[in-house]
Amino acid sequence: MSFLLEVKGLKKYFIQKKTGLSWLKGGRGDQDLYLRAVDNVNFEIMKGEALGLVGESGCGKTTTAKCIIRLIEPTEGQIIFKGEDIANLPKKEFKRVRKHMQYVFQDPVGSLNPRMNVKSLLAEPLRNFGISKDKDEIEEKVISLLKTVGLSEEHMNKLPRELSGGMKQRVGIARAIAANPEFLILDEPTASLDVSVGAKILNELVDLQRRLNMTYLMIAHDLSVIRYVCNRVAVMYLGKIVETGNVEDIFSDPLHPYTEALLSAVPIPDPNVKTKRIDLKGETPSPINLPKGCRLQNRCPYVFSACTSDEPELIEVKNRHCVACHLRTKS
Amino acid sequence: MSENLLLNVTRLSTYFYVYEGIMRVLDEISFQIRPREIFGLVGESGSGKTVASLSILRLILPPGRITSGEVIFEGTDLLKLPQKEFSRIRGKKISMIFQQSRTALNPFMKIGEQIARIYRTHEGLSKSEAMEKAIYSLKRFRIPEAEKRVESYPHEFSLGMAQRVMIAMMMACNPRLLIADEPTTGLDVTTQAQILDLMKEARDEMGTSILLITHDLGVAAQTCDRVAVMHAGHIVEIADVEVLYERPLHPYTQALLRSIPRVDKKVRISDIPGFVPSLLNPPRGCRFANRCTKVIQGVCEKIKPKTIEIDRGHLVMCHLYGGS
Repeated sequence: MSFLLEVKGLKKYFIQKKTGLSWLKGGRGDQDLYLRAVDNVNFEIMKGEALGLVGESGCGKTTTAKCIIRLIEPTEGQIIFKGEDIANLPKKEFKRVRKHMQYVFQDPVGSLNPRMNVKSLLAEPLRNFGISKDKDEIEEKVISLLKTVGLSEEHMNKLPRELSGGMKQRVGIARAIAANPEFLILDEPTASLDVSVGAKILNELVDLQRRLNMTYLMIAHDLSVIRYVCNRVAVMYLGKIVETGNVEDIFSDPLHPYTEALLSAVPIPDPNVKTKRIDLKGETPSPINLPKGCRLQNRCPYVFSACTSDEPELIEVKNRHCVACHLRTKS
Repeated sequence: MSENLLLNVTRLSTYFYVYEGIMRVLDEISFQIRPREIFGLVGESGSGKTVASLSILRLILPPGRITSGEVIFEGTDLLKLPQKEFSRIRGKKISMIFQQSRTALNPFMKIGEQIARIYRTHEGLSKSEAMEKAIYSLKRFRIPEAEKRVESYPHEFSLGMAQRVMIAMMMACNPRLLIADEPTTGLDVTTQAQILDLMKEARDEMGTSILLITHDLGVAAQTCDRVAVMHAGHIVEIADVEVLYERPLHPYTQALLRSIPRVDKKVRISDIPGFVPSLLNPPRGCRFANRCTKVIQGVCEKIKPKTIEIDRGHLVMCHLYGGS
């Protein structure tokens, strides 16, 4: 099997320097605290696959994605892109790789420079990655990019504030695919949009992937969106991946209690379909003060002795369906 | 008929008088809420859901103004009540929870004190009695260690907990009507499910009617008894929840239901082309006409459709079903 991207043992710890008040956050006050946002994450994406990364807010989805394109420098771990470890490449060399991996940000408003019009926003990556220097050629490319995402020539001279939320998000996508990347990271591409507009973006993403044979890493908290676009899923909880597998396997037969609870909590837009809810009690522990053993132990309905002593590892139980839970792996 | 209704909103219009002209944000909307009912108001952003709820509570500030209509609550028209009498109803018989509860709570006041104040204002209890009741109400909505938590400030609560505190606070006086404006937006799905359960429980135990405002058709389907669909300041369809999702009549409702992906099965989704018209000088006819696939040329753009009852309790505002 050849993977386009392999993430091995990725860690990102944010240090909270010791202060007189550290004891407030659960430390002793005389040592630095580590917020383990991403803690030993492993996954791989094959070419042409779309992997959905799901989990509740604060579980480290975005940090993982930003580490991959090194908008955040990882603390530890390997990021192997097309057979090359890019986690420690010097900035200058990284630019060569960066051309092939692009990022669509969650907030379409904040990620577009308000003083640049659509044309210059889209021309920037073309110039930056040395794809084109000729003015007319750039204009031509910008127009074709706009058409790819369902906008037209007339939007070229508009400023971001003159566009609707859906259009802004499409400009964000157009900018990301400008340099013909092989790998696209989509961070909640439809979370801020109305359903009728979001549907259009989702359909365009599915279509783009088919036409250009792109590889996606899509972050979403909405599981129905993942089901629509992706063919693989990774479920994250508190900085760890607890389950990965094909979309159909995970949605029809979730193995981890957390995945099960997450799926059962999604409200289905059909009053005749009632799901049996699996309720997680209590609250997510703080990523500074992690419990020993499984991170879900205080909320899991099936908790038993092994859960409080050993941390479960991600183990393959079926074909490319991995789970990190003592229930499934110890028996 | 009318004694069976808790709230009867008829032809309510709210306009915003801005520099560019008049924004007709609510245009003659009518709906009824029965006792013990969870009534959903769904629609996309800018459709007027929030303005509708604020109008009921008379919280519209200039340049907005309620220009016409009636809001009959338990037999009295809220819009005609003097301010002083209305204050006695708002917070006691009708209360509201907001989307961002942490910003709706006073950041400088302990939670217990904030809840106790409601009892002191509306029920005239003494300080210690009120605090006791505050602790009890937190317990009722499953805040762990309620005795300790009354001493906490809002920032010490997680978003989901803050929303629970807010519900406890708003249910403090056993209101007849609870207005919940996107109470779970921005929360995680697991927390969302818990909050919605709490609200259903409140309805079952105390018989409170709930006006639930949401953009999420899934939430509406799983929570509400009846649902009204809003589009650009109009209510285009009202029906019992099963009927609305099974046999939607209005082209907008149909399109909306086709645009959401599902978690339980693979479906094809399609978007709604075009844009919601500007509410400044909106089109004279149907406000969905420019996006509608079933538009009747020469009729829909020119004449505002009447709301007609197709079936018992199934109202639709569309020329396709006659009534013009």
